[in-house]
Amino acid sequence: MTQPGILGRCFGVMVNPGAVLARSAEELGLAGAVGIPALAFALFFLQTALDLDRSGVIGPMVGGAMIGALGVPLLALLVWVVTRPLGGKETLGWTLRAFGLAYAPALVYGVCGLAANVILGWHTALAFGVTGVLWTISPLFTALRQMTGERRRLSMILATMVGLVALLAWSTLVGA
Amino acid sequence: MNATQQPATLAPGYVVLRTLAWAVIGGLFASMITSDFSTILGSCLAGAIAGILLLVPLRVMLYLANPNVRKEHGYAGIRRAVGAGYLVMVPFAVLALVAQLFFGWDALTSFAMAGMMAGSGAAGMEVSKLSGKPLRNVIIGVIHGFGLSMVWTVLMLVVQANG
Repeated sequence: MTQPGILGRCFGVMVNPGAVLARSAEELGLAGAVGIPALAFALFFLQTALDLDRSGVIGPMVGGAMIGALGVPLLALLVWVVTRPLGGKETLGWTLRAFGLAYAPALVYGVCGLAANVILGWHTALAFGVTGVLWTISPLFTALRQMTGERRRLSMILATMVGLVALLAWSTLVGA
Repeated sequence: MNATQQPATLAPGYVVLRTLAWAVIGGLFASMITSDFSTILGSCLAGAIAGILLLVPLRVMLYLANPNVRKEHGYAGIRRAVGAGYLVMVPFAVLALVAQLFFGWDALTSFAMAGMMAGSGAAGMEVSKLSGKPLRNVIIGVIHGFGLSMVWTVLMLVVQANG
């Protein structure tokens, strides 16, 4: 079976996260696992800076990229540690890749939002940026269900907390 | 692939949780327009009822599109699978509540629409586990989620038009 390209994976993880995670989490490189959330958050923070009419966009972009590159893997590590005693059999590498891949929808929204921001002059941080981060919940929920042996309640709580941390980080850093 | 998996079994608490998520969305929707408690409470109830009714077309579409699941698990199997998929709506409702009450963000539309799209998609995927035909069910889920998003958009336009 031919493997989908990066664009196919990004859209696929939005509509069919389970299948894409099963197929791609094993083979996505760690660079991709870190790069996808880093780029997604960088674009999210860039849109926020543009919305707020700040003169400097480099700082927020770097901040966003740091959250994506360091914060998301750290969250993945924490969740992996929490789920290990509950019978989670996924490796840390799989968890890092699954979390990274989960941010693919945020990257798609980031690209679309930036285009709308620059070309049409819209304020896009909430409409596209936050929506993109929200779209990570579904693939995260799927990954977490796998990691917790189909414990739905725990997966719901963890997915909510991961989403909340991402939104809190954005809110705190940009003062939104 | 044959229909080999069993439909998801959910404790009654999950149904309550899912209905509560819709109620929260309904309540937050009213709180954008008014601070009257009874109106917000009424909107919570309307949201909960809408959450029950709006899943019926999705179940029917999935039921009609999956003769093998229909034969093996019946409508009850589809209902349980859709219910299991729509649990993903709960985190969206919780985050919407936090965003509106604690952050003061005006972003309910983003939370509601993303939640509905994700919920419908996940419901389609749950049915796919029973039928082994992911593409068909994912497309039905996306169509339903898109339909709900359109309903939400119209609702917002009506509210805006009425000040």
